[in-house]
Amino acid sequence: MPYDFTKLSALVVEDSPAMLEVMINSLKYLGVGQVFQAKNGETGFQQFVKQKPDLVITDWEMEPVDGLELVKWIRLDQMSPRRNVPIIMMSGYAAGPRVALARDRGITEFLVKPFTANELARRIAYVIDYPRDFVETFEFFGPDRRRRKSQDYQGPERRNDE
Amino acid sequence: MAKKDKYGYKESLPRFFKADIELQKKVGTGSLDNGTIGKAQAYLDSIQTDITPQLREYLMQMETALAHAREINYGREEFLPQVTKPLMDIKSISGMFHEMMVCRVSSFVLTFVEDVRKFDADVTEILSAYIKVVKTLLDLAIKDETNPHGQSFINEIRAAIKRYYDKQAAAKRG
Repeated sequence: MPYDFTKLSALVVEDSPAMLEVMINSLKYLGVGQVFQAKNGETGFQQFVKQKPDLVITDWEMEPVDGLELVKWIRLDQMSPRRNVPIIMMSGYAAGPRVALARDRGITEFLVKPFTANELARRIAYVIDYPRDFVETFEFFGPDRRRRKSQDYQGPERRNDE
Repeated sequence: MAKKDKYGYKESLPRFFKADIELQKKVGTGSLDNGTIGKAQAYLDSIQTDITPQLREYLMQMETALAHAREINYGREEFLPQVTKPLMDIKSISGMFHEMMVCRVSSFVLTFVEDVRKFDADVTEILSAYIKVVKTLLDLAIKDETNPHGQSFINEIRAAIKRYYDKQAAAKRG
């Protein structure tokens, strides 16, 4: 049975007006019930606090507040109404270190632009099907970054349930 | 100051939270509907917005950065963000708005720029050549990535990047 995206609300944060329109329409065609929008990280956070969407899809490079800063606010700010919301970061960057940097700030999934409707839909489906455990340390709150367990790990086991 | 273990971690342990399945309860699980995805893709395929003015604006930003770089001899740290940002924007937007040849050339030039360790005259020349190629592609309205003229431009850029890496490798060998 297909997902019922009509019950889903999403916030799209994107500074390019043309790209913002494409994103909003794409989500509507995919059946997403409510789509909110913002033009940068600052207004994005305001919308996030106000609308409390189920999902955030944000661009990376924006001014005056970029996507990485928005992720930090959503994950760490006391005003944040839902610190564990799934965040999909979309960007033209595809190099490994960039993706790792975004992951280390607390994103849930990464979507490289340009993308197809199928790729967008799959990222949304993935955050629904595979909700992530969250980790909080002194300076990080975000999805558990250890998706794979290394068999030859030699370091300390710092988790109670390991 | 917090005590640290032998691996440098603070003694206070991280806290863990089990995954929240509220969204799953709300939306359900299952499969993606191919018909719905097809409609969304048909919309993406039908977009006819002319984004060439925006692409030219990004090219201008790159030209300005390159001109400054030549004047004041930028280091990598100052130079890269000013060039990679518009380059990344060109790659992203061209691909979404059917300028596929521009997207293709931008994609591998972006990969190259993110990989360079040191900004120098050779890198500047490659980026200048890239700007010329994209301007030509836009002037001639070459969108299809299989277009032979477009292919020849891309091959020239690719050859220039290869020469750059060969030169770097030769310099390393001494």
